[in-house]
Amino acid sequence: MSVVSYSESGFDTQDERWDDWEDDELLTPMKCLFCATTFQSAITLFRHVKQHHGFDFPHARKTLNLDFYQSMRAVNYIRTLEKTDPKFSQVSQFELTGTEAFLNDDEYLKPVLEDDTLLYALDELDLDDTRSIGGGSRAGSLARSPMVGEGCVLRERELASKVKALEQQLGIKEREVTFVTEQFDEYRQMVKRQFYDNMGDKTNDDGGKEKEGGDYYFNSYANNDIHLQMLQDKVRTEGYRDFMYDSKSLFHGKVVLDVGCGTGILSMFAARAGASKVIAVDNSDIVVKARANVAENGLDNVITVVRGKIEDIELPVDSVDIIISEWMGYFLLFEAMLDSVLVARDRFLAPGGLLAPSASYIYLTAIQDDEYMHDQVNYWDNVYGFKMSAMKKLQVAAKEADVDVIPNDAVVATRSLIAEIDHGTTTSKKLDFASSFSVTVTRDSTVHALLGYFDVAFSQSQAVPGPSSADLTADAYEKNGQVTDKALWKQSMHGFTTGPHGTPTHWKQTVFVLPESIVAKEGDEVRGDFVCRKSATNPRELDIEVAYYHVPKGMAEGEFEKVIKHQSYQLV
Amino acid sequence: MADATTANSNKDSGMTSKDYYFDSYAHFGIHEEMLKDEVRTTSYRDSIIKNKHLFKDKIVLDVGCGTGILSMFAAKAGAKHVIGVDMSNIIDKAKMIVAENGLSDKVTLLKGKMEEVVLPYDHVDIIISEWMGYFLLYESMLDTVLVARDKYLSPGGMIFPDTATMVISTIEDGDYREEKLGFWDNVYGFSMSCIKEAALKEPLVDTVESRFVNSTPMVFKTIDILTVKKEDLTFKVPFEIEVSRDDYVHAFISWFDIEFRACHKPVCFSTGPFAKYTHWKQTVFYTPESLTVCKGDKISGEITCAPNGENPRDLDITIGFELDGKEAKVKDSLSYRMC
Repeated sequence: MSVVSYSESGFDTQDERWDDWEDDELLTPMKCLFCATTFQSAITLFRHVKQHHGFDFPHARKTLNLDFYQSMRAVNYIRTLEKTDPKFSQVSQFELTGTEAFLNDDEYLKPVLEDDTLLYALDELDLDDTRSIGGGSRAGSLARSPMVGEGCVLRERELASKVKALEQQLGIKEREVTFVTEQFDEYRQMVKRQFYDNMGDKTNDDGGKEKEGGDYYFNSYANNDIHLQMLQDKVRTEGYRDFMYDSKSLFHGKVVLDVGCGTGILSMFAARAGASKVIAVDNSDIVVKARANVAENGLDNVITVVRGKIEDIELPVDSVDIIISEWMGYFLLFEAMLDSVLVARDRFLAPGGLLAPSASYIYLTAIQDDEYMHDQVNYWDNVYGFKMSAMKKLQVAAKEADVDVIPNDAVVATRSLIAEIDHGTTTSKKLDFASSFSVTVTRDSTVHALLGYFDVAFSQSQAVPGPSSADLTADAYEKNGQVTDKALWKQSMHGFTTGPHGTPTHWKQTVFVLPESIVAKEGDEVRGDFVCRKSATNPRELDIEVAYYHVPKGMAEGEFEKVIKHQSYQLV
Repeated sequence: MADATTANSNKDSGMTSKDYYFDSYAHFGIHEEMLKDEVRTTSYRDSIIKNKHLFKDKIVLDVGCGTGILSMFAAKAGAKHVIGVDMSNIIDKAKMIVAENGLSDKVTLLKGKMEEVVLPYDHVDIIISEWMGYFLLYESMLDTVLVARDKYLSPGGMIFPDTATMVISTIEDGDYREEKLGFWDNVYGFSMSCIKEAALKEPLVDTVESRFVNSTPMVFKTIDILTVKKEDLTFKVPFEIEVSRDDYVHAFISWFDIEFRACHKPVCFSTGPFAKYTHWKQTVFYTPESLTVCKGDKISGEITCAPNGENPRDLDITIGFELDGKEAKVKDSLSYRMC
């Protein structure tokens, strides 16, 4: 929280009101949020809270724009802490960032203290905020009641009815939220459909003139250079090849579907691995070349190349035994190709069938990279004598995650697994994910950025799609980042990593520059939450939100000043 | 590279995949690459900042202003008012940048097509623009500069830069050719000759080391920006180059040089293999077969260059040549498409 002095001027009118109220009214005293002291008015209570416990609630409420319910939850949350922590009365610093989960957790609408008058007084804290809710019977108006004794009974009744009204309103609000969420999801689906359909129509109807139609995505893949780059990515191509050639008994006699076949290389690997039939699907001009490649290598008796969208296409078979696809984008999910593979899986994969790759994993670690910061961030402070802060990828308005190859010696922390995707069971919806993370700093450093990357696994059976997260997080699994891409996988499982400890791939790594660097000691941790979802405006893009905080070595939650920082990023 | 968005209209009102494509030009990457191209940016800076006498109290138009760097140079050089025009979303950043540098009163930025924006002046004294694309003309914004010139430039006005020349030569490039083209002969055990053929038809934009150049470079096209017409940018011109050593020719290469002749002391830069690296690199046209050449052999022919009929963004380039050498006599016509 940014502690600013209590804005007297801003509360002048309310001060009067409360003074008024204090004089006339004998309320059940309100208990301090932290200690046992009681007060007759909210304003004196919060003054005390600010002075003695370092928490400026009215200010936080104002700056964070907390509504009545959130304020209520905050009070109840703090009261819960107070109940469970015997030393809580000594708290001298406390803050809210506005993003805490409890602010939206209805569990905290339940009063922690019986007859907690402070909760009703919250109503008075900010008149603008409350005018629309809770009916007309404010506690304040009771101050004018001449009969104090009756007033108390009246007050209780009024409060009871008020709580009821609030509960009703809450129900309405909740239904509204659900409705809006559903509508939004529907809208998103619609945008997505239109986006793809647009492409599909043009691609299918215009024949040779597609490029004019601006089907950027599909047609950019028809460009030779991209295929050269992907094929020359040995980690990628050999990863697929080695899996297939080392699994000939698995492929022998099988029907294989290649989703997004490009030049047809994976289909040809599958054919050489013994597949009886391979159907290669792609929706770009490249299929013409894929067909020629297949014929040139004498595999046209096994491989059928089909042009179209996997969502619409009809296959010459009812089902397939294995789906192979190289769908991975930057940070695994950028460009949303996995969605098409999942459609293919649901439409065509036989029960017990296999996906290759079978599972994928997204990790987060932390880096100190002075060179990167110099080139990418500080550069914009002096461009031929001019400042260009607007060009920094990290600023309030535009925050782009960056894709770059980061040297392994820039990594200054352990890694944290933030997503584990079983391609056999995941759904398009689940690809929007949220995860907490915690990385331990391995040497004294200045953490400039979080770094994301992914691994993929090729299993022989979708029943065991890949190493378990317990395996992956075990110390022995990856020592000091000093493993090769081959050694990454235990047992006989194939796979590869795109991490900075492996051979660089065309996926590079994804850099999330922190709004403020963290000066950390060995053993400190960076903890937080990571949320990744498809962009509503372009489903191929990703919207990412990170909340993080610095944990000094050996400190438990509550033992240190927890300053949670937030940053959202886009991968576009 | 020139910002292609300014040269292309966007008729669709809704957000389509096409918009995402054009929008991608607003991304930082290309502008970062251009700014960090020191040859480019310092040449513009020198031509403007070192010629304050030319810019003092002048009205300046910056066509395709991008991040606004050239507009700010002009403002610093004493221009009375600079108008920057760009169609891409980068102009939103340019506005922030201009404000951050306290030049908002001197620099006005307008978002839109050159043909459509309304300038606060009927005439401008100087047009500055960094419009050059790969091979000078690929996705170049020169058309837009010519529109601005014909509509706004006062008689006697200046254009920075005002002269561009295109150069051709040949290179020995056995190793790299093998890596780029030979790759398709054995792709993890498969051959992909159809992609090799396609790759042969696409000129490659890449850096060429000067030691591989094995003939005398020859200027085949000179463009005077003050007088050139749009139709002059579709051309068929002869060339003749002389081989400088006994060697093999694997490719023709082309690059361009840029001059600011209006300057008191002319400023110029080259994007060729003998000069410092620029983001334009050079353009390589591989020949299907390597040519055995001897010192003194002449290679002559004709270069044609025209926008593709179906997609004017693409450039069709043909190199018809005849080698009448001591060891080999070859006559061929090679067609390429930059897309």
